[in-house]
Amino acid sequence: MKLRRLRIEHFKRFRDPLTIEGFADGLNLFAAPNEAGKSTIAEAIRAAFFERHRSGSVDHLRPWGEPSATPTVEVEFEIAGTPYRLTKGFLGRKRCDLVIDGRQTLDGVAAEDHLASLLGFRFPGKGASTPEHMGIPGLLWIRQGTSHELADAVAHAADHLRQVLGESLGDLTSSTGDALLHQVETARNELLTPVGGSPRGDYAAALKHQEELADAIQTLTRDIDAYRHSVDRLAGLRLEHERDERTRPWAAIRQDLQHAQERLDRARGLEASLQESQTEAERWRLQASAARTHLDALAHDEEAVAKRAQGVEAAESAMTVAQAEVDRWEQQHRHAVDTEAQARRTLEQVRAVAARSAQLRSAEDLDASVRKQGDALEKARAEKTRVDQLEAEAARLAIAPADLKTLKQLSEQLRDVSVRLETVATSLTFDLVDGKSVRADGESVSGQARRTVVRRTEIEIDGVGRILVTPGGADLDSLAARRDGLSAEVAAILERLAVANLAEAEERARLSTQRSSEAQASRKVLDTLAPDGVEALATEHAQASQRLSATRTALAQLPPAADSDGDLPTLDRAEAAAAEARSTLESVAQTLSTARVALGRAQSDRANALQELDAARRTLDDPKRAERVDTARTSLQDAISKEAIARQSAEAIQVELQTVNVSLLQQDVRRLADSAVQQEEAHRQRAGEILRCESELAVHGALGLEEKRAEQERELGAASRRAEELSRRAAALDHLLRLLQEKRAALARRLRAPLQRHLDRYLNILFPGARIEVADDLSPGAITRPGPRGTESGEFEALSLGTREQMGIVARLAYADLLQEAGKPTLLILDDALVNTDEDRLGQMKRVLYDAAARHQVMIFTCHPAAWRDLGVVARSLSG
Amino acid sequence: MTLRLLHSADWQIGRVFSQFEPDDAAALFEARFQAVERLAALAVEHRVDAVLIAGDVFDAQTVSDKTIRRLFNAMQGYVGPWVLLPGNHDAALAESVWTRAHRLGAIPSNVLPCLRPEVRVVGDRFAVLPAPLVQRHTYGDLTDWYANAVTPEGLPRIGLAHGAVQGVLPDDIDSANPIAADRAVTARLDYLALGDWHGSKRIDDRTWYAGTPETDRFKANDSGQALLVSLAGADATPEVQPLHTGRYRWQQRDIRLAVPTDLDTALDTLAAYAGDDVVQFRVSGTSDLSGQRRLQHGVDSARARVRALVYDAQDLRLEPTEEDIEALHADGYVGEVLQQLRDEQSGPEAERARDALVILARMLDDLAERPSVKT
Repeated sequence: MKLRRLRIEHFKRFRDPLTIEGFADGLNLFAAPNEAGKSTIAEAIRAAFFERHRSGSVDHLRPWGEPSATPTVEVEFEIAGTPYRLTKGFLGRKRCDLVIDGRQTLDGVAAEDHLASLLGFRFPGKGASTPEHMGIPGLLWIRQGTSHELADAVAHAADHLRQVLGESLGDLTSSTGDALLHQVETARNELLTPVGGSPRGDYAAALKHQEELADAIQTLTRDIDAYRHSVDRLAGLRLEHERDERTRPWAAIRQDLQHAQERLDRARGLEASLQESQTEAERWRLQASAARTHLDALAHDEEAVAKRAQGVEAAESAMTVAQAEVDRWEQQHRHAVDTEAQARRTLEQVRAVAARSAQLRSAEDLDASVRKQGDALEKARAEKTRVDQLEAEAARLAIAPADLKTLKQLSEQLRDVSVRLETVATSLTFDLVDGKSVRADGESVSGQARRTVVRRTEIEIDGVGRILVTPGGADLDSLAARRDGLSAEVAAILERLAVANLAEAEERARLSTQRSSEAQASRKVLDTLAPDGVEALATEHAQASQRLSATRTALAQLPPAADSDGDLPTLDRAEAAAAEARSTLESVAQTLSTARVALGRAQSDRANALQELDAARRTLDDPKRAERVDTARTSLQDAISKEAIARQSAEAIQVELQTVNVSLLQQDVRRLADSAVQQEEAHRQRAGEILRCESELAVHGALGLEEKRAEQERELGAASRRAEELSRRAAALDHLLRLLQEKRAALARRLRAPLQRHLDRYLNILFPGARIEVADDLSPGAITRPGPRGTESGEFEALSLGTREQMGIVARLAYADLLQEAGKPTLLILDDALVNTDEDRLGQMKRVLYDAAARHQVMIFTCHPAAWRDLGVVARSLSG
Repeated sequence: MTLRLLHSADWQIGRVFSQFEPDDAAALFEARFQAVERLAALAVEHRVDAVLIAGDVFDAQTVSDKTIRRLFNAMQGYVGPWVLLPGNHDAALAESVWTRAHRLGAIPSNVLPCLRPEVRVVGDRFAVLPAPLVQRHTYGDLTDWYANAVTPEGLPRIGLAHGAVQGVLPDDIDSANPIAADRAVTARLDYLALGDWHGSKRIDDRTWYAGTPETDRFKANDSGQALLVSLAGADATPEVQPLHTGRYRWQQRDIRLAVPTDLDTALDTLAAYAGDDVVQFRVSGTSDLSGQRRLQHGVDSARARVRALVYDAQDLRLEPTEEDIEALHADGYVGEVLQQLRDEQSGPEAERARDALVILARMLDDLAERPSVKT
């Protein structure tokens, strides 16, 4: 199919008619910027073929804002050399005319349907055409940006493609193949799992049933075997039981047992006798031993007398020795006593002499001391008297310092007051003729005198009368009163102190102090003389005097000194000699005492020895003793002979016992007794077991085991036959299915071969060395190509967008080749189809397209004129 | 006066036929009781003095109580003496079907099980010398004692034994339980009634196998009978007359398909089978698909008619003809599959290929008969 001319009017972007003419047979490149109307042209072509002219769903074809326009497309093309002209008006004045080979042959729906069958597409029942309906043109006319979406487009075109391929390979297809295949698969999958091929459904159930029955039969067979075994056992038991009943084996054993018991009893009797004989021999042995002892004891008596006599002798000699010792030590003792008495006397003499000289010295000392004390006492007494006098005088003269002070103050105040009074007072001066006197206030005044009058004073002059003087002055009275007061106070104090005036008082105070210090000096002297006081000194003196007199008295009583006193030893020596003599005496006395004790003991020993000797002699002399000796001898003889008899008897028994083995006999008895019991018990048990076995068999027999098993076996037979049938059917179906699939796959491969050939041709331009598989639905499948890491393989859908885009175009070119071979019209439209392709690949794709254009008309719309510059055709602009 | 005995054996009561479908098997199980009822009727009809059963009365020791009772019920029709002998299937063991029957109280007084080898006088008419099996298998001759057995003067001596007469029966018979071939002569027996061999068989004038009264296997010749034995007097040769007792006819047929008429023979044979037939039908050779279909049709139709039918076409090879393929529309790759399956019938998986071929043919048949759904 070749487009020759296209004219559109009132169509979307193109309100004014646009005519494109002079399409080339091969490549046609339309380059224009976006929105220039490239896609509108592609759409106009699609609308002309795919949309029914009567369709009400094509409003989008109208130019904007022209609701009454009639979008019109006129396409002129050639198919197999025959020229066609299709004119289609939509919406407004709907029409469809198809002029074939210059003659108007078809119009309306007929024209549309004719084209559809010619080009390989369908119309929708109603509404706008959708991709499902577009068939082969839908595949070859690539809309903008959909070149990579291949699978759907191929699916929509599949029927048409198959038809094409099928026609070329006609007799290889099967009219009923797929239906049969489906049926076989369904039947097969009823019996086997689709994937693993293991039994399922009826087949699995039949196998299970078969297995269950086999198990049940196995169980029954076991039970039957057990039953048969029991029957055999019962027969065996009965046989044995009857045999035992007949032969009674335990009876013979019982008889043997009796014999063995008798033998054992006899042997045991022997053992007892042996024991008895041995006991008797032992008894006689002991009796002989006793007799011997008795005899030995009797023989001992004589020896005892001799021994006792020897004892007496020894005791006596010992006593003599002891006596001698005592004597010797008594002599020694006496000597020591004398020596000691002498020493003691000497010591006493020495001591007496020493005492007298000591006493003498003491008396002399005391005498001196008494005399000295007498002097001191005298002096002390004198001193004491002086102290007492001084202290008494000091006390008598003493004036209290406070009184003295008061007195001084009062005297001064009095003087002051008197002075003041004098100055203010009336002074009376008297110058009286000798021998004459007056009295003032009763007081006689003669000579010259002066008087100060402070109060009314009467001066009586004898003979004259009286003169009353009354002193003036304001204070005169108070001063006078004060002076009088003070005078009275002073006078009172003076009176109390018994002094005339202040000077006297002061003198007394000075004297008192003097006396006190003198007394103090004397007391110091006294203290050195009699530190504890005079009285103490006196007592001391009296005592010393007393002692002296006592000493003198004692001395007087002492014996007078002898002349020999000068020969006496010193006290030390005398004491040492006395001590030595005493020690010697004590030692000797001790020894003597010991010797005396030894003597006493020796005497006692001797007495005992004598008694013992006496007793021994009495025993020996006992008249019954001889009788006892005889008796003992007889008894010994008797015992010895009887022991010998008993021993002989025991030996004889032992000899006999050696010939019989008691323990073996005992074992025999036990063994036979056990055997008898066992036999009887076994017999009883067997009887019981027979009963058990019989009842058990009765119960099990009633179960009808073998009949049941036969029944089960019949069922198993049926089940096995069914399982076998199903197994064979499954195997046959499986096999059949596999064969059908294999054959069908082989056929499909043969069908796909031409497509494969064309694909490989383009693929080798794009990816040298690559291979692609064609799937059953004729879409490209896995692609294998050399990659940087060896051969890579992957599904078409897993490729990159760019690669899919390229592969999409390559595949479409291959379909186009295929269709062309089958004599179908082909036209390729690529609307911006390689936008995701890089420069290298684009270069390859250009080679691919150039190659394809040798066989097909190819329309390429692009907005990248520069990229397509080397395609080998001149790009056309739409405006032209 | 002539002594008349009815001699039977191998009743095998309680036998289950596992090779058949359940309903068929049940009918064959029943048939054995019915055979006993017919024996009772024959005994009455021929006014026999006693019925002798020479072993294997029961098929197994542990049949159900119900089966035991039903057997003795089936014998009620004849009130004369029934002399029963234990065989290898129902040996008189320490515990056996006999002791159980006895415990159940199911044995009527006119039935005499001979559990011990000792002479018994039956109705003052004859002395029977039974040789019961007391073990499952015996390798000695249990009839040895017959020669020295003393029987009442003037009464016929009738031996009753179960086992294989030496040197007479085919070799494949079990060699256990042997019986000397000349026993009747050496033991001065008037008649020796034998069991174990399921067909009626004469050993000598006085020695016979009665066979089972109801056939139970395909290979039993002259089974389904009982023997009416008449002894006219001392030293007279017994007169033995087989009486028909069986109901089901066990038939085995092998047909090899080679030429087209073989198929017709096979179909005729199948068409001839009737209700009481128990059939084992084997075909081998070669058939085309249409022949196979006709054969299968014949088999299915016969199966609905007969008592039981076992069909075996394992050795039949299918050879689809061009006509078959045409008729089945087996074109395209289906045709290739068909061809391959035909070839595979000569290979190791011949059976699978044949099965697959049959399935394929049937499915194609079905598809062809359905309205075309071709798009």
